[in-house]
Amino acid sequence: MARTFPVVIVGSGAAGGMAAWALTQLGMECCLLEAGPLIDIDKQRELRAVFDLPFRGFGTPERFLHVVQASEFDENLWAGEKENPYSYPPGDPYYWVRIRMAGGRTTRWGRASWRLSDLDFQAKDLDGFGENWPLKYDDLAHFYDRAETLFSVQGRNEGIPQLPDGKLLPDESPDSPANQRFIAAAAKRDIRITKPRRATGTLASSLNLLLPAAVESGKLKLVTNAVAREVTIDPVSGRANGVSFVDRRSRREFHVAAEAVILGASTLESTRLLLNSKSTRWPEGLANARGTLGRYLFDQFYVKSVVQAIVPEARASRGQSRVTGGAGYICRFRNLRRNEKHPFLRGYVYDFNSGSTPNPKYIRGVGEGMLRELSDLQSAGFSLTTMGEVLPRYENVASINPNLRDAWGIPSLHVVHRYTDNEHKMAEDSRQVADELCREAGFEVLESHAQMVPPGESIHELGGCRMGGDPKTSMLNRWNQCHEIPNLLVVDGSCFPSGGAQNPTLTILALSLRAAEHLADTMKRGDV
Amino acid sequence: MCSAILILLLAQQPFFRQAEADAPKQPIPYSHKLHLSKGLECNACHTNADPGDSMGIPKVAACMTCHTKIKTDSPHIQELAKAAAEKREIRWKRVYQTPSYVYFSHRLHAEAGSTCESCHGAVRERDVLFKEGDISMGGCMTCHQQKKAPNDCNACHEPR
Repeated sequence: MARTFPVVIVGSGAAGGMAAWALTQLGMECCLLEAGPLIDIDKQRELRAVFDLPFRGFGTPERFLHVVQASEFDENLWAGEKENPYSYPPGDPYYWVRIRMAGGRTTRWGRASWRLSDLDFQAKDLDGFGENWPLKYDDLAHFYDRAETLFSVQGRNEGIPQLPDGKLLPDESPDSPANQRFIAAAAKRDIRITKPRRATGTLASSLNLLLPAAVESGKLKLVTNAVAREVTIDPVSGRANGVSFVDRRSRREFHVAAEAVILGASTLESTRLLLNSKSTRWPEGLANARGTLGRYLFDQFYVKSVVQAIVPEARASRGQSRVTGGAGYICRFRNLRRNEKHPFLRGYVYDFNSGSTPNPKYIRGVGEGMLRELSDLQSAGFSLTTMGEVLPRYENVASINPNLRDAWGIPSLHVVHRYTDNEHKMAEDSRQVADELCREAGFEVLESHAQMVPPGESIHELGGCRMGGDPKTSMLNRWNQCHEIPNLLVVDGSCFPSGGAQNPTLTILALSLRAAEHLADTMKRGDV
Repeated sequence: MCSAILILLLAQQPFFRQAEADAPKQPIPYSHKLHLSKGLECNACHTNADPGDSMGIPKVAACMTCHTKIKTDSPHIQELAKAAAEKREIRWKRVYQTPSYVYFSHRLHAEAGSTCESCHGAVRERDVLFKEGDISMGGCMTCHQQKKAPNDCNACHEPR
């Protein structure tokens, strides 16, 4: 491309989309590179009929080995693993879930929108592990407000310190009788429960809420099917001067020049892009002066259906019971204070749902007996899922696999991510507490377990290019700029030094907004 | 490309006039306004069979309970009568359809106090029906929020 843009952004999901929105609203021209196509998501996400599917719904073999969320009915929406391979150590699988199209994973996200608090930003102060964020909650509060407003987040403000109140559309829906009983049982243990906070609106996505306004401003050049290969550097100044990319379909090589580069391609893709941007000056990856790039990778672990229970009075209602229904969110209650005695650091939260019908795997027997039992339990289920904080560790790392390339010849990642005793003990504690709470609420517990899903499956991968006050142990400063190259920013989940147990998208939106506006401000002053 | 995304996204907005222009052309002209003005109610033709999720689209036989005597000289009614005689149904075009990954119960909503107009718009004033009610996820969630109904995922989607 012949011209030089003020800013080039890689990725159009929550991070990249928000950066594009913020900069264009301030009148700055941007070029946005998106690896996938621009599609009509409403049309594409309609599930196809089973008779139209070559494998009749069982899935194309080996296309989505690690994307448990994908099925043959909607596999047109996910990034396939044959074109986009990666590796992990034998016996330690990592589940990397990707979507490559305009809007990124915000086209399919669960809309859960939670704030972190200083319990998370300054976690090291409480237990001495890891590093604090180089910012505090007050630095981000204003940006959370704006992200929540843009995404029409609905929920309840309940004054819970570890879950700060926000600019929310009120959720005044009643809790079902079963949920009320569960909430009362939890309250006896001083455990706080609130309603889920979710972005509302049709397709609460970057595709629908951020990119249209950016396009309408006339300041955005959106380039789709642009698979980023490398961030390029001016050999004289050492500054980032653009991004080279491959056209997904023609496989032709292009370069877009820019005065500043923002990476918002996702935790692992931005890390990969920097690792692949090697030169004599940066042989281990761009701005990777101390070998921290790719390290301190973490996510949030899930224990799906940690407890499956039954609400007894909803039995035999044939789904017509008004006893069950609705969802809730159990806020973190472990290690809120110094000196709590638990066999693990940090804490976990739960999502719970009532009113579902239990999976047949929980029912004893087969045949007619099982069908009768299932019919009896229709809408009588109550289940919880644990979401726990994973500690960022140096040993958990994404690096380049020299023997593996994607369909465009770009070197792929090798991801090493193992859960440790801390996560295992936390998961077991969550099983025990959930089991006890259900029994105290008068529910029948069908089964409980503490088996975490493999790392990555929660799709909350974070870290790898973390922020920090010390350039020796971090890649980015408090404004998401690389310590070594200030006109290169990374604004996605890779910048997290730690992540709490809350779903990270709202924090990514707030951080990207903050970083982009700061960049615009400094560029206008000529300071970058 | 930029203009393409703008067109695509603008097209998702419920622009009234566009929706009216996009009204599906029915195989036989039918006026909801005319029929409702004669004293019929919606559920006279659209029955809500158990378990109550769907409102039915009337069969030709239902039309013929009245039209064996009413307006029999109209060519359109004669077309209807011919279909009835041949035991053939008319392929009415659906105006509203929820996606396959959503479950929705008309009965539950009616019991909660919603009216047909809540989702389908001013049917009594329309000769030709078009998708003027917003049944997108945003439309549903906005209404649920205003009416203090749950917006939890499992209110409309099966938990996976």
